[in-house]
Amino acid sequence: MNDDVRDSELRARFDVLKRIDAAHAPAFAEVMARARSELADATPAPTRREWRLVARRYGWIGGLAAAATIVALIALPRRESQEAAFERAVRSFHSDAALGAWRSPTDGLLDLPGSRLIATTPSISTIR
Amino acid sequence: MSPEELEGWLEQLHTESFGWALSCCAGDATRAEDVLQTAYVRVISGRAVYGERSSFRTWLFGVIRLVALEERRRIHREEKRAVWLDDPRAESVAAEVSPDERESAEALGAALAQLPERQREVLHLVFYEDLSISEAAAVMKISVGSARTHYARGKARVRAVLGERNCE
Repeated sequence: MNDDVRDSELRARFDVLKRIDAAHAPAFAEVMARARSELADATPAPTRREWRLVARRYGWIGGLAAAATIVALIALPRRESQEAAFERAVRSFHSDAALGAWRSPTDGLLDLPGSRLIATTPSISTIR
Repeated sequence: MSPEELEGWLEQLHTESFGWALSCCAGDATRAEDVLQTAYVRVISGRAVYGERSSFRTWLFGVIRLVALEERRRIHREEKRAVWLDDPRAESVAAEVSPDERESAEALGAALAQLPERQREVLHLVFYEDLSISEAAAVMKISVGSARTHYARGKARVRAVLGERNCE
């Protein structure tokens, strides 16, 4: 059997299906009336034209806000992070020679009586 | 296109559109009606705009398909296509359909139900809606080559299933 004949057989089956389906089709006016009432009930979504109008009317506010943000970013001093501040302090300590000679005023308190004796290891020859 | 013209086109294509909606909804008439209604809402509200890049029918079928897909995603339900001959509305047609034809339509419905969606869609658009393969491809938003492959595979599968049924 060639392909065309088999295609026409298939088409004939589809035609029957189409006739049956057509009997179930709802009336156009009925569907359209329901569509209209659905449309009337729904909150109207803005169309593209309406969006464009809104953008034209209030677009300058958005532009102004964007410009203000950019100015604020440039003009306001950046807040240094704690880690960056610490690293900067360490760097300045190493580079400043005067700071290297600095001694704490309480260092003397660590110099206790007899501490020198504890700090040295006695040699056998010195024990008599 | 004026609203009157638009409505005129919709009315002219209404039965075919219902058939396509039915195919997109796996034979569920209630869902097909809902899909058609939503598609009409989109058309008359201007949410779906005919850009005249294809024929009005091809475009409308594309809208119906999209609405049906959205509906299906929402429902998440698999159903099979059924040929309803017991429906009282079909009585007038049933009288014109011979028992052999009825059986053949039932067999076709069952065979189509076994096909993957794309194959079922392309066969419906070509054989039922009399679209060309390239028009079907436009409705389905796939390439013509891909539509041709689905068409050939679908046709072979339907014939095989119908052949099996005839042998039973």
